[in-house]
Amino acid sequence: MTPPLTAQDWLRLARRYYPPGVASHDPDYGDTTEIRSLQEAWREALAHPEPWSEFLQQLRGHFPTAQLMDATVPYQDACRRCCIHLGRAPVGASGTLTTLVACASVLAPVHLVYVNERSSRNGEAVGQVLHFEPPPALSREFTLLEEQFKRTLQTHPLPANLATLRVPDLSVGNVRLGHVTLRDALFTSAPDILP
Amino acid sequence: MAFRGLLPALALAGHLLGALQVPACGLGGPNTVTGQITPAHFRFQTTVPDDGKDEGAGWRAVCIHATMKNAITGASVICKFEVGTPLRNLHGRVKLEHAQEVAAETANASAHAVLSRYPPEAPLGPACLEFREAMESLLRKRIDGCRVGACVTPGLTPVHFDPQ
Repeated sequence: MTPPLTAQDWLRLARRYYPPGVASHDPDYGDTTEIRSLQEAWREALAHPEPWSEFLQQLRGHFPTAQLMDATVPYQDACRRCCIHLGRAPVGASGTLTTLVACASVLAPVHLVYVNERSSRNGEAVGQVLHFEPPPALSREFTLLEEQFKRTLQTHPLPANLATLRVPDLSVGNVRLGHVTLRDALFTSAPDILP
Repeated sequence: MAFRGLLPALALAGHLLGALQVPACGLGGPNTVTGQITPAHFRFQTTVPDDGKDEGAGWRAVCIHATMKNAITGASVICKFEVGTPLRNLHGRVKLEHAQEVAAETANASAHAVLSRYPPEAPLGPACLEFREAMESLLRKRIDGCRVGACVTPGLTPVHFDPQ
Protein backbone atom coordinates (compact mmCIF):
# COMPACT_ATOMS: atom_id res chain seq x y z
CA MET A 1 0.00 0.00 0.00
CA THR A 2 1.46 3.36 -1.01
CA PRO A 3 0.70 6.28 1.30
CA PRO A 4 -1.02 9.32 -0.16
CA LEU A 5 1.38 12.04 -1.27
CA THR A 6 -0.28 15.41 -1.01
CA ALA A 7 -1.91 17.14 1.94
CA GLN A 8 -5.21 17.05 0.10
CA ASP A 9 -4.88 13.30 -0.37
CA TRP A 10 -4.38 12.89 3.37
CA LEU A 11 -7.34 15.10 4.24
CA ARG A 12 -9.49 13.12 1.83
CA LEU A 13 -8.36 9.89 3.45
CA ALA A 14 -9.17 11.14 6.97
CA ARG A 15 -12.67 12.14 5.85
CA ARG A 16 -13.36 8.55 4.85
CA TYR A 17 -13.19 7.47 8.50
CA TYR A 18 -14.80 10.36 10.41
CA PRO A 19 -18.04 12.07 9.40
CA PRO A 20 -17.43 15.62 8.12
CA GLY A 21 -19.37 18.24 10.03
CA VAL A 22 -20.65 15.86 12.71
CA ALA A 23 -19.55 16.52 16.30
CA SER A 24 -18.48 13.43 18.22
CA HIS A 25 -21.15 14.13 20.86
CA ASP A 26 -23.87 13.87 18.24
CA PRO A 27 -25.93 10.77 19.11
CA ASP A 28 -25.73 9.62 15.48
CA TYR A 29 -21.92 9.95 15.24
CA GLY A 30 -21.26 6.26 15.88
CA ASP A 31 -23.81 5.17 13.27
CA THR A 32 -22.36 7.11 10.34
CA THR A 33 -20.94 5.52 7.20
CA GLU A 34 -17.52 6.92 8.03
CA ILE A 35 -17.36 5.39 11.53
CA ARG A 36 -18.49 2.11 10.03
CA SER A 37 -15.50 2.37 7.68
CA LEU A 38 -13.26 2.96 10.70
CA GLN A 39 -14.71 -0.12 12.36
CA GLU A 40 -14.13 -2.13 9.19
CA ALA A 41 -10.49 -0.98 9.05
CA TRP A 42 -10.08 -2.17 12.64
CA ARG A 43 -11.72 -5.53 11.91
CA GLU A 44 -9.30 -6.02 9.07
CA ALA A 45 -6.33 -5.06 11.24
CA LEU A 46 -7.41 -7.27 14.14
CA ALA A 47 -7.88 -10.20 11.78
CA HIS A 48 -4.18 -10.00 10.90
CA PRO A 49 -2.31 -9.53 14.18
CA GLU A 50 0.89 -11.28 13.14
CA PRO A 51 2.98 -8.33 11.85
CA TRP A 52 2.24 -6.29 14.98
CA SER A 53 3.04 -9.28 17.21
CA GLU A 54 6.33 -9.71 15.39
CA PHE A 55 7.05 -6.00 15.80
CA LEU A 56 6.50 -6.30 19.58
CA GLN A 57 8.65 -9.40 19.71
CA GLN A 58 11.51 -7.56 18.07
CA LEU A 59 11.12 -4.56 20.37
CA ARG A 60 11.44 -6.88 23.33
CA GLY A 61 14.87 -7.84 22.01
CA HIS A 62 15.87 -4.22 21.51
CA PHE A 63 14.70 -3.07 24.96
CA PRO A 64 15.36 -6.06 27.22
CA THR A 65 15.19 -4.10 30.48
CA ALA A 66 12.16 -1.94 29.60
CA GLN A 67 8.55 -2.75 30.44
CA LEU A 68 6.63 -3.14 27.19
CA MET A 69 2.85 -2.78 27.10
CA ASP A 70 0.57 -3.13 24.13
CA ALA A 71 -1.51 0.01 24.61
CA THR A 72 -3.80 -0.55 21.64
CA VAL A 73 -7.34 0.77 22.08
CA PRO A 74 -9.26 -0.54 19.07
CA TYR A 75 -11.91 1.75 17.57
CA GLN A 76 -11.31 4.65 19.98
CA ASP A 77 -7.90 5.17 18.36
CA ALA A 78 -6.88 4.64 14.76
CA CYS A 79 -3.59 2.95 15.55
CA ARG A 80 -1.99 0.06 17.31
CA ARG A 81 0.15 1.46 20.08
CA CYS A 82 2.97 0.16 22.22
CA CYS A 83 4.46 1.73 25.35
CA ILE A 84 8.10 1.15 26.18
CA HIS A 85 8.49 2.26 29.77
CA LEU A 86 12.16 3.10 30.24
CA GLY A 87 12.25 2.46 33.97
CA ARG A 88 9.72 1.60 36.62
CA ALA A 89 6.78 3.64 37.80
CA PRO A 90 7.83 5.59 40.87
CA VAL A 91 5.26 4.09 43.26
CA GLY A 92 4.79 6.42 46.21
CA ALA A 93 7.99 8.19 45.24
CA SER A 94 9.15 11.20 43.28
CA GLY A 95 10.68 11.06 39.84
CA THR A 96 10.08 11.05 36.12
CA LEU A 97 9.00 8.05 34.08
CA THR A 98 10.05 8.26 30.43
CA THR A 99 7.97 6.24 27.99
CA LEU A 100 8.61 5.73 24.30
CA VAL A 101 5.39 5.26 22.38
CA ALA A 102 5.26 3.56 18.99
CA CYS A 103 2.05 3.78 16.92
CA ALA A 104 1.10 2.13 13.64
CA SER A 105 -1.99 3.50 11.93
CA VAL A 106 -4.66 1.05 10.79
CA LEU A 107 -5.86 3.56 8.17
CA ALA A 108 -2.65 4.04 6.18
CA PRO A 109 0.90 2.62 6.17
CA VAL A 110 2.30 5.30 8.43
CA HIS A 111 3.74 5.30 11.93
CA LEU A 112 4.39 7.73 14.75
CA VAL A 113 6.96 7.68 17.53
CA TYR A 114 6.80 10.02 20.51
CA VAL A 115 7.97 10.33 24.08
CA ASN A 116 5.85 10.80 27.18
CA GLU A 117 7.44 12.05 30.39
CA ARG A 118 5.35 11.69 33.55
CA SER A 119 6.57 13.39 36.69
CA SER A 120 5.36 12.46 40.15
CA ARG A 121 5.96 13.74 43.64
CA ASN A 122 5.35 11.43 46.57
CA GLY A 123 3.40 9.16 44.26
CA GLU A 124 1.11 11.93 42.95
CA ALA A 125 1.25 12.83 39.25
CA VAL A 126 2.39 16.43 38.96
CA GLY A 127 3.19 16.89 35.31
CA GLN A 128 3.33 15.40 31.87
CA VAL A 129 5.26 16.40 28.74
CA LEU A 130 4.98 14.97 25.23
CA HIS A 131 7.82 15.13 22.69
CA PHE A 132 6.94 14.44 19.08
CA GLU A 133 10.46 15.32 17.96
CA PRO A 134 13.19 13.03 19.30
CA PRO A 135 14.90 14.47 22.36
CA PRO A 136 18.69 14.30 21.83
CA ALA A 137 19.07 11.82 24.68
CA LEU A 138 16.71 9.40 22.93
CA SER A 139 17.74 9.87 19.30
CA ARG A 140 19.28 6.38 19.18
CA GLU A 141 16.02 4.79 20.39
CA PHE A 142 13.98 6.84 17.91
CA THR A 143 16.22 5.71 15.05
CA LEU A 144 15.95 2.11 16.17
CA LEU A 145 12.16 2.28 16.24
CA GLU A 146 12.00 3.97 12.85
CA GLU A 147 14.11 1.20 11.35
CA GLN A 148 12.03 -1.49 13.00
CA PHE A 149 8.81 0.01 11.69
CA LYS A 150 10.15 0.08 8.14
CA ARG A 151 11.57 -3.41 8.34
CA THR A 152 8.66 -5.22 10.00
CA LEU A 153 5.56 -3.23 9.15
CA GLN A 154 6.73 -1.46 5.97
CA THR A 155 5.40 1.85 7.23
CA HIS A 156 6.67 5.40 6.78
CA PRO A 157 6.78 8.22 9.32
CA LEU A 158 4.04 10.81 8.88
CA PRO A 159 5.95 14.07 8.27
CA ALA A 160 5.57 16.59 11.09
CA ASN A 161 4.02 19.21 8.81
CA LEU A 162 1.28 16.73 7.91
CA ALA A 163 0.82 15.38 11.44
CA THR A 164 -0.15 18.84 12.68
CA LEU A 165 -2.28 19.68 9.66
CA ARG A 166 -5.82 20.63 10.71
CA VAL A 167 -8.84 18.77 9.40
CA PRO A 168 -11.29 21.44 10.50
CA ASP A 169 -14.52 19.67 9.57
CA LEU A 170 -13.84 16.53 11.61
CA SER A 171 -14.41 15.67 15.26
CA VAL A 172 -12.29 12.85 16.67
CA GLY A 173 -12.47 11.50 20.20
CA ASN A 174 -13.01 14.46 22.48
CA VAL A 175 -11.38 16.90 20.07
CA ARG A 176 -13.88 19.43 18.78
CA LEU A 177 -14.67 20.42 15.22
CA GLY A 178 -12.04 22.88 14.05
CA HIS A 179 -9.26 21.50 16.22
CA VAL A 180 -8.60 18.01 14.87
CA THR A 181 -5.22 17.29 13.27
CA LEU A 182 -4.18 14.46 10.98
CA ARG A 183 -2.30 13.01 13.94
CA ASP A 184 -5.59 12.80 15.88
CA ALA A 185 -7.36 11.21 12.94
CA LEU A 186 -4.70 8.74 11.80
CA PHE A 187 -3.28 7.76 15.20
CA THR A 188 -4.81 8.95 18.46
CA SER A 189 -6.52 12.00 19.89
CA ALA A 190 -5.28 11.04 23.37
CA PRO A 191 -1.50 10.61 23.06
CA ASP A 192 -1.10 11.56 26.71
CA ILE A 193 -3.26 8.73 28.08
CA LEU A 194 -1.22 5.58 28.55
CA PRO A 195 -1.83 2.43 30.58
CA MET B 1 -21.26 -4.18 48.40
CA ALA B 2 -22.00 -0.61 49.27
CA PHE B 3 -21.70 1.73 46.32
CA ARG B 4 -20.71 5.28 46.90
CA GLY B 5 -21.83 7.23 43.86
CA LEU B 6 -20.85 10.78 44.64
CA LEU B 7 -23.99 12.61 43.92
CA PRO B 8 -27.04 13.18 41.88
CA ALA B 9 -26.16 13.63 38.28
CA LEU B 10 -27.04 13.52 34.62
CA ALA B 11 -30.40 15.23 34.70
CA LEU B 12 -30.30 18.98 34.52
CA ALA B 13 -33.31 20.12 36.49
CA GLY B 14 -33.01 23.82 36.02
CA HIS B 15 -31.65 27.02 37.41
CA LEU B 16 -32.79 26.86 41.02
CA LEU B 17 -30.62 28.93 43.26
CA GLY B 18 -30.10 27.41 46.67
CA ALA B 19 -31.63 24.10 45.72
CA LEU B 20 -28.40 22.37 45.00
CA GLN B 21 -28.28 19.12 46.85
CA VAL B 22 -24.59 18.44 46.99
CA PRO B 23 -22.13 21.27 47.30
CA ALA B 24 -19.74 19.28 49.50
CA CYS B 25 -16.94 18.92 47.00
CA GLY B 26 -17.04 22.55 45.96
CA LEU B 27 -18.05 21.78 42.39
CA GLY B 28 -21.61 22.95 42.69
CA GLY B 29 -23.25 25.58 40.55
CA PRO B 30 -26.69 27.13 40.60
CA ASN B 31 -28.59 24.28 38.90
CA THR B 32 -30.20 21.39 40.69
CA VAL B 33 -28.89 18.15 39.26
CA THR B 34 -30.71 14.90 39.90
CA GLY B 35 -30.15 11.24 39.13
CA GLN B 36 -27.34 8.91 40.04
CA ILE B 37 -25.55 6.36 37.93
CA THR B 38 -24.31 3.30 39.80
CA PRO B 39 -21.43 0.84 39.38
CA ALA B 40 -23.97 -1.70 38.12
CA HIS B 41 -24.57 0.45 35.04
CA PHE B 42 -20.96 -0.05 34.00
CA ARG B 43 -21.41 -3.47 32.48
CA PHE B 44 -17.97 -3.64 30.89
CA GLN B 45 -17.31 -6.09 28.09
CA THR B 46 -13.79 -7.30 27.35
CA THR B 47 -12.82 -6.23 23.85
CA VAL B 48 -9.11 -7.11 23.98
CA PRO B 49 -8.31 -10.11 26.19
CA ASP B 50 -5.33 -10.03 28.50
CA ASP B 51 -2.96 -12.55 26.96
CA GLY B 52 -1.08 -12.90 30.23
CA LYS B 53 2.18 -11.71 28.75
CA ASP B 54 3.98 -8.63 29.97
CA GLU B 55 3.21 -6.82 26.74
CA GLY B 56 -0.56 -7.06 26.79
CA ALA B 57 -2.65 -4.53 28.66
CA GLY B 58 -6.02 -5.77 27.34
CA TRP B 59 -9.13 -3.60 27.20
CA ARG B 60 -12.71 -3.54 28.49
CA ALA B 61 -15.39 -1.07 27.44
CA VAL B 62 -19.00 -0.15 28.02
CA CYS B 63 -21.33 2.10 26.01
CA ILE B 64 -23.88 4.06 28.03
CA HIS B 65 -26.85 5.98 26.65
CA ALA B 66 -27.69 8.52 29.33
CA THR B 67 -30.66 10.84 29.07
CA MET B 68 -29.94 14.47 29.87
CA LYS B 69 -32.98 16.66 30.48
CA ASN B 70 -33.52 20.34 31.06
CA ALA B 71 -36.55 20.67 33.34
CA ILE B 72 -37.04 24.32 32.42
CA THR B 73 -37.10 24.03 28.64
CA GLY B 74 -38.21 20.42 28.46
CA ALA B 75 -35.34 19.68 26.10
CA SER B 76 -33.59 16.35 26.34
CA VAL B 77 -30.73 14.61 24.59
CA ILE B 78 -29.18 11.18 24.71
CA CYS B 79 -25.57 11.45 25.76
CA LYS B 80 -23.84 8.38 24.38
CA PHE B 81 -20.48 7.74 25.95
CA GLU B 82 -18.04 4.87 25.93
CA VAL B 83 -15.83 4.20 28.93
CA GLY B 84 -12.78 1.99 28.52
CA THR B 85 -10.17 0.73 30.93
CA PRO B 86 -7.07 -1.40 30.45
CA LEU B 87 -7.22 -4.84 32.05
CA ARG B 88 -3.72 -4.22 33.27
CA ASN B 89 -1.68 -1.05 33.50
CA LEU B 90 1.71 -0.01 34.77
CA HIS B 91 0.57 -0.62 38.33
CA GLY B 92 -0.83 -4.09 37.77
CA ARG B 93 -4.23 -5.67 37.19
CA VAL B 94 -7.26 -3.35 37.09
CA LYS B 95 -10.03 -5.26 38.82
CA LEU B 96 -13.49 -5.10 37.27
CA GLU B 97 -15.24 -4.11 40.50
CA HIS B 98 -12.75 -1.32 41.08
CA ALA B 99 -13.20 -0.05 37.52
CA GLN B 100 -16.99 -0.05 37.97
CA GLU B 101 -16.90 1.82 41.25
CA VAL B 102 -14.44 4.42 40.06
CA ALA B 103 -16.34 4.86 36.79
CA ALA B 104 -19.60 5.51 38.66
CA GLU B 105 -17.99 7.93 41.10
CA THR B 106 -16.25 9.90 38.38
CA ALA B 107 -19.35 9.91 36.15
CA ASN B 108 -21.52 11.34 38.92
CA ALA B 109 -18.91 13.89 39.95
CA SER B 110 -18.36 14.97 36.34
CA ALA B 111 -22.05 15.22 35.49
CA HIS B 112 -22.60 17.27 38.60
CA ALA B 113 -19.64 19.54 37.90
CA VAL B 114 -20.71 20.17 34.30
CA LEU B 115 -24.50 20.32 34.61
CA SER B 116 -24.72 22.31 37.82
CA ARG B 117 -23.03 25.20 36.02
CA TYR B 118 -24.42 24.62 32.53
CA PRO B 119 -26.37 27.58 31.13
CA PRO B 120 -30.03 26.44 31.24
CA GLU B 121 -30.75 28.20 27.96
CA ALA B 122 -27.87 26.52 26.11
CA PRO B 123 -28.35 23.45 23.89
CA LEU B 124 -27.64 20.28 25.85
CA GLY B 125 -25.68 18.43 23.16
CA PRO B 126 -22.29 20.02 23.89
CA ALA B 127 -22.77 19.26 27.59
CA CYS B 128 -22.24 15.62 26.66
CA LEU B 129 -18.78 16.38 25.32
CA GLU B 130 -17.93 18.50 28.36
CA PHE B 131 -19.10 15.65 30.57
CA ARG B 132 -16.94 13.13 28.70
CA GLU B 133 -13.88 15.36 28.97
CA ALA B 134 -14.46 15.93 32.69
CA MET B 135 -15.00 12.24 33.38
CA GLU B 136 -11.93 11.19 31.41
CA SER B 137 -9.84 13.72 33.29
CA LEU B 138 -11.00 12.38 36.67
CA LEU B 139 -10.99 8.71 35.70
CA ARG B 140 -7.46 8.61 34.29
CA LYS B 141 -6.15 10.11 37.52
CA ARG B 142 -7.62 7.15 39.39
CA ILE B 143 -6.80 4.42 36.84
CA ASP B 144 -3.98 5.00 34.38
CA GLY B 145 -4.95 4.51 30.75
CA CYS B 146 -8.74 4.98 30.98
CA ARG B 147 -10.65 6.65 28.18
CA VAL B 148 -14.08 8.23 27.83
CA GLY B 149 -15.27 8.98 24.32
CA ALA B 150 -18.01 8.45 21.78
CA CYS B 151 -19.60 5.02 21.44
CA VAL B 152 -17.73 3.64 18.44
CA THR B 153 -16.77 0.11 19.45
CA PRO B 154 -18.97 -2.40 17.62
CA GLY B 155 -20.56 -5.22 19.59
CA LEU B 156 -21.07 -3.35 22.85
CA THR B 157 -24.60 -3.73 24.21
CA PRO B 158 -25.72 -0.21 25.14
CA VAL B 159 -26.68 0.36 28.77
CA HIS B 160 -29.56 2.82 29.06
CA PHE B 161 -29.63 5.28 31.93
CA ASP B 162 -32.60 7.58 32.37
CA PRO B 163 -32.67 9.21 35.80
CA GLN B 164 -36.39 10.06 35.52
